[in-house]
Amino acid sequence: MGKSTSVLTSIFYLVKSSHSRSTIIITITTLLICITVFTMAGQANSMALQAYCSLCIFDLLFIGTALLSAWIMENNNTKVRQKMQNSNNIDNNSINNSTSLFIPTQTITTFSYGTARFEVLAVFTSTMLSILGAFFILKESIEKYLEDEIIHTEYLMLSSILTYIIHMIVIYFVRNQAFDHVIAASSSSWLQEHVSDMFQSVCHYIPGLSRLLLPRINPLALLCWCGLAIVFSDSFLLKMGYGHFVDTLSSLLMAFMTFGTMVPMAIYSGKILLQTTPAPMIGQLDKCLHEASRLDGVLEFRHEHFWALSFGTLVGSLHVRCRRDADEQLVLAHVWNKLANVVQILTIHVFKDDWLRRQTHTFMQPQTGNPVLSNNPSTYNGFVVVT
Amino acid sequence: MFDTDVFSKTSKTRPVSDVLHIIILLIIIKLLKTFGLFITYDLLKSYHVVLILFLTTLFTSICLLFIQKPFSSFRPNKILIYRLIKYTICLTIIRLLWLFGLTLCGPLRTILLYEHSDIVIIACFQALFSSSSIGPQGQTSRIRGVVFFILAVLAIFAFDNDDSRQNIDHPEGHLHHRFFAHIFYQLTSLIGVADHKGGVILLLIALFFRCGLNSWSKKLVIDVGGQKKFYAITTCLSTICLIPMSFIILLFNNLFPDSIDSIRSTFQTTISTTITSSLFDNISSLIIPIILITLFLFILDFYVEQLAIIKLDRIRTFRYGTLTMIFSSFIISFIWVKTIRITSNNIWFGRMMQIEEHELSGGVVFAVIMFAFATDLLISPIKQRSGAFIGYNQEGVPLFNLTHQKSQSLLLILKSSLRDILAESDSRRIFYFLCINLMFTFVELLYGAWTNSLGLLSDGFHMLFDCTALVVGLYAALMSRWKPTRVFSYGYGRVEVLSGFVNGLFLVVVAFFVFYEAIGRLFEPPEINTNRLLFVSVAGFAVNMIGIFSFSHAHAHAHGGGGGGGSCPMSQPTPTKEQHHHGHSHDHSHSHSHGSSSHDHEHSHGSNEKSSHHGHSHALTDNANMRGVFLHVLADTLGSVGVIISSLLIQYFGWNISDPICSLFISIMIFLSVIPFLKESAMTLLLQTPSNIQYEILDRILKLDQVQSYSDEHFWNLSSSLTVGTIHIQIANDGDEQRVTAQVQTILKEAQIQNVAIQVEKQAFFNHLNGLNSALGQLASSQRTFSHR
Repeated sequence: MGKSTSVLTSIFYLVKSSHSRSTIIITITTLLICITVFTMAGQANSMALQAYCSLCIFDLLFIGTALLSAWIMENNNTKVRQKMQNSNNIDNNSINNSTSLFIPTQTITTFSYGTARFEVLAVFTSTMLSILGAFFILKESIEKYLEDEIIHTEYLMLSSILTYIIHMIVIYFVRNQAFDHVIAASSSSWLQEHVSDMFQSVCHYIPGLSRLLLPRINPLALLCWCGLAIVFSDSFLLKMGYGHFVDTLSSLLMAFMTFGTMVPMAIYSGKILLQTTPAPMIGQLDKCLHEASRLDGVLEFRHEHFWALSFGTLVGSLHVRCRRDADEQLVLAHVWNKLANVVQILTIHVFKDDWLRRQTHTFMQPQTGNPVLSNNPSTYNGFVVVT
Repeated sequence: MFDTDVFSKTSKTRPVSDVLHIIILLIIIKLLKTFGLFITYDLLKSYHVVLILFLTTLFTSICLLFIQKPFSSFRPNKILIYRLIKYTICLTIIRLLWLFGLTLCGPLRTILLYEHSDIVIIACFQALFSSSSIGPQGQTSRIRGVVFFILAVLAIFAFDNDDSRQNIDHPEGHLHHRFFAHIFYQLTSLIGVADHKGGVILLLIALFFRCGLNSWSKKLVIDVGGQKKFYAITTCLSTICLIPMSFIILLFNNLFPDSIDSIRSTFQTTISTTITSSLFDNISSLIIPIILITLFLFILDFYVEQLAIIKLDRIRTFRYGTLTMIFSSFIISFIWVKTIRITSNNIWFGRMMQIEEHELSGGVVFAVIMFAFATDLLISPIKQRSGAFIGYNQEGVPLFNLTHQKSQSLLLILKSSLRDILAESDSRRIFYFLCINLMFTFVELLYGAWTNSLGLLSDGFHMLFDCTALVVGLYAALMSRWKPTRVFSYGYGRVEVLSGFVNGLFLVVVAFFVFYEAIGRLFEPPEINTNRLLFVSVAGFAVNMIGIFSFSHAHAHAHGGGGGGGSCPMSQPTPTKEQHHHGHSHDHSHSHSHGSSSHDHEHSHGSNEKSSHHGHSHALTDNANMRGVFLHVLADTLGSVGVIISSLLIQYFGWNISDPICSLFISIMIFLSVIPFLKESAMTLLLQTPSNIQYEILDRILKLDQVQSYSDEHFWNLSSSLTVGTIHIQIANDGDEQRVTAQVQTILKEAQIQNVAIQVEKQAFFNHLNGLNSALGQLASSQRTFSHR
């Protein structure tokens, strides 16, 4: 509970600080519009509108993520400050609730890797929630289709335009590092792919548009545009008297578009949560490991675990089996040197075979001068070592 | 494969200027064909399908016999003739379907649906079913083409309000094909679609049949000796086929002239024109259009298309042909409808036009555009179809991997995954429950469809929706047993945690929507039809109880908890009509975590007590995945209980307003009860240091011989059972690393931490790093230990 209050105080701090005031205003507006729009959607009884308005909910989650990443950044700043203070008076382990996480103390902190991972979870949660929401809408729209109720078209235009405006404002005016990163790094959604494919063929005929159309489009903005088009055509067709089928169809389409947009992002952040090696890093890591395995004294690597802590931070642990006569600190330093550029948080476990038995022979090994080292051939276990 | 040879020919396309005359010829012929189809349609209004087909094929075969002389050099053997006859029968059936579809849908829609080349259809199927074979770039445009195609068909099927016609000539529209029509109407009314929609279905069936037949008959064509000869022979054979049929039809028409006349007379009252005469009076007016049709549809078209295929290539032929036909038919039908409007009782070829026509509608215009796009996208050749580049061989020649992903048979995959599922108790339990649930759902859906009950149907969909949570859980349980890979270096154990988290989010979404709906209903409580609701909810409750029992045995804690007698209430509201939302209720189960204070409305009900007991017992499982699934099932169960209670309430007291209030209450309960679970799994995902790692453990490490300090200690739960950790330890210069490592390892092992990495650092390490100019940034904390002394 203490932690959550500290989170709350942090949020209040954000509210007070000047740089996030615009965010707060946007949040409140979004909240209000969200309520209005959902009321309208409930009145209109149209599933397509409801599907589109669920973008508002996503906006709230988006803003939440933005606040969280701002909070994390703030925390990191205080951490640096605290570190400076700490170097002066190291004994002063001020228990400063949340910020104390970052002070290297001799106590166990709740989140030993810091709060950077919160961002990932926030992104995953918000994308997953909108996926599940789309799924729920899918089911609801089928049920609605069976029920066959009257749809009031008069609300459609107004609320969809409101949603559109607020969504665009949120996407373009709220600074959100976490989502920016995910949007840039995750694979493109099918919507993006198709649109870029179409734009490419358009640019084939009208080359002048290439600067406008060819860059990668923000998938969230694209979702909003397509959704608006769908809701408009839906309301047009409903006014023409085409009945429920149109509404069901357009809500299904909306749901599938939401799926398509959110799934790549959810997969990207979910993979980080599952502690996996990011695919783009594999090549670089392999190269480093290969180099490191050629170092003097290194026999083999075991238990290589490299995984992404958060967006852009790689954590690794590695067991290195080294030759019995090798200087462990030297091996450690060399392997560290190779890997530290790629892996930000690294732990290298250096071990030797049969080190207990070796100690009985220590006195017989005068040639190294170092009692720790040994190269008793009888304990080589078949490993041929050429130095 | 069919289209490989087609697309390979594209490399030698000739420039347009060389073959311009052929293109123009093709376009003209296609225009004529369109025109011919319109004439056919008019003819079909007055004559029977079989008769028209018979006459046209008769004329065609006479013409072809003279032009082609197919039997002059034809040496038949028994097998070949047998195959030819089979082909001919199929062909005739397809043509009959096509013409019958024409009578139902009108010429424009027929052209839109039927005049697609085989390439388009096969490309459709390929894009849908074999995704791996084509490169990503081609694939997107193909998929778009398929989507356009489907949209176009859908537009014709659903958005084309061709209703005016149906009002007039519904049950037995075209009088001459009574027999067919009657059966067909029976059929369509059984499915419940309007007859023009039935025509759409017929045309699509005919189209797919034609494609299948054409690719099947490829070898036959070669055996017979050329496309033209084949065409001539099959046409002749088809004429022979049609002789008996058309005689039967004629006989029928002569046997029951009265009925025809009676129908016709009723018909005329709507049409307000006269002209009824016996069939043979207008033979002369029949002959001319028939000859025209024969020429346009069957002879000229065929020959020009053959020519164009040779001179141009298949793709271009089909592209120009199809596009011409689509657009020309669009324009012609526009004019056609207009002329009919102006001269509504104009006599065309001696026959009456009917006023009610297949008019243009928004759906058709949309379909025209979509079909044009789809044809263009699907028919355009795929750029490269190469295999994956592997490398160079010894001579320096590049090697390609042409084998696509080896596709195992579906059966084998199913079998092996079934074995995996049944191998462990968790997944087995989920699987059995999923099976029961699905069975119940299908029974419900079937029964709902049978009795035409909306409540049952939507409840069935709801159950299906709930099953997805089980599927997620099942898949996660299966996945968590996979071996670690390069990317998933810790194994797949975390998948369970993640799936538990997702299931928790699922419940949050459910709670939100129930809340939202309840608020909407609070202001205007709907009338609820409790009819049959009770039965369904009791059945659902029974099914979910099975689930609860089976999952509860998974956990060692038996059901003991004391929900006590009359707690639990949650009269779960039946939302709209009669579906109950399972899945929202779910309260006590988790409330133990908040102390079971929260439920106190009383309507004590015997059955709930049980569920509350279970709730208490199960929250203690360690497997997040199973817990998530269990939560979901529990929510469902309590949902059914709620429906039982609320339907009883409404039935006996008529408190409709109680329904949304309970809904609100329940959604809040769900939300509150999911939160602890959600928080717990989120903490695991966030790599929270487990609470059982005590300070004293690290203290023991610190007290070890030679150890000066430690830093970068990270411990986290990998999955529910496995704890992992890394730690850096700074020791004195004369310490022995291996000894310290072993000691620390023992300490951590005692603390149930299995997978540890210990980095032992001395001052020498930092000196080395300084020498190597390495990045020291992240080591700041551990280095401090040394620098401070």
